[in-house]
Amino acid sequence: MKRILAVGVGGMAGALLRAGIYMAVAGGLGLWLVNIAGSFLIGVAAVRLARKSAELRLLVSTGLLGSFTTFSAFSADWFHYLESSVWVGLAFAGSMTVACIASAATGLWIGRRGVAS
Amino acid sequence: MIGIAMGGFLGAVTRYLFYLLVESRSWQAKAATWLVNSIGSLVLGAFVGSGSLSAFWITGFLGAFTTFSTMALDAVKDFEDGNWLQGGSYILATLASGLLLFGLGYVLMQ
Repeated sequence: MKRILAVGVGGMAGALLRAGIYMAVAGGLGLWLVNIAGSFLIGVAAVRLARKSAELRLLVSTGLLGSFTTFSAFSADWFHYLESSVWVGLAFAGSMTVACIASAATGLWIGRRGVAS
Repeated sequence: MIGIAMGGFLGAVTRYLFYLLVESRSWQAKAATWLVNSIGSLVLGAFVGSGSLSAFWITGFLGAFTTFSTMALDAVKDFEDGNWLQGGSYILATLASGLLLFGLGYVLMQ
């Protein structure tokens, strides 16, 4: 029960933060921002929270960062870009995916560097 | 605002229930993430196709139910372990099913 509450509270905060960024940033840029920042932070959290309690990891990684980033809106944007041009659609999906993977890798790297020193 | 908060709570908890349904071996966790991202894309397609603008469902529940960061992190772990084929096919399978299922939901509800 405590774990479900941790995921839920984190998820609520993540969704609200994402909605706030959508409102603050015009157009499709908000999705880029939340997915890149969230992927970076989940990489840092994977290292820094590895030895913390399961509840804290569920709150931050599964709840907050899992909800802050989103895949469904990405699928929607990709679909609409493809409707206008196959190449624009492929470029959008490819660059978002590569950017998020690079962000998560950078987050892991920075997280480990901090732990080692 | 309250709708997004409630949707975010319930979407994240529902995603967590999918993780609880599988043992937490790495490929099974990825299967759960693939499943939530696929289902979430299908349902969002249905909402968008039907012209719904529900903040509870779209920004709240489905936004929180699906996740990009978990997918990216799990792929990086695969790549670090040298499992390029597994990580790469995981990403490509998620991208493809998300797109196709969003399109299916969209077309069906239009």
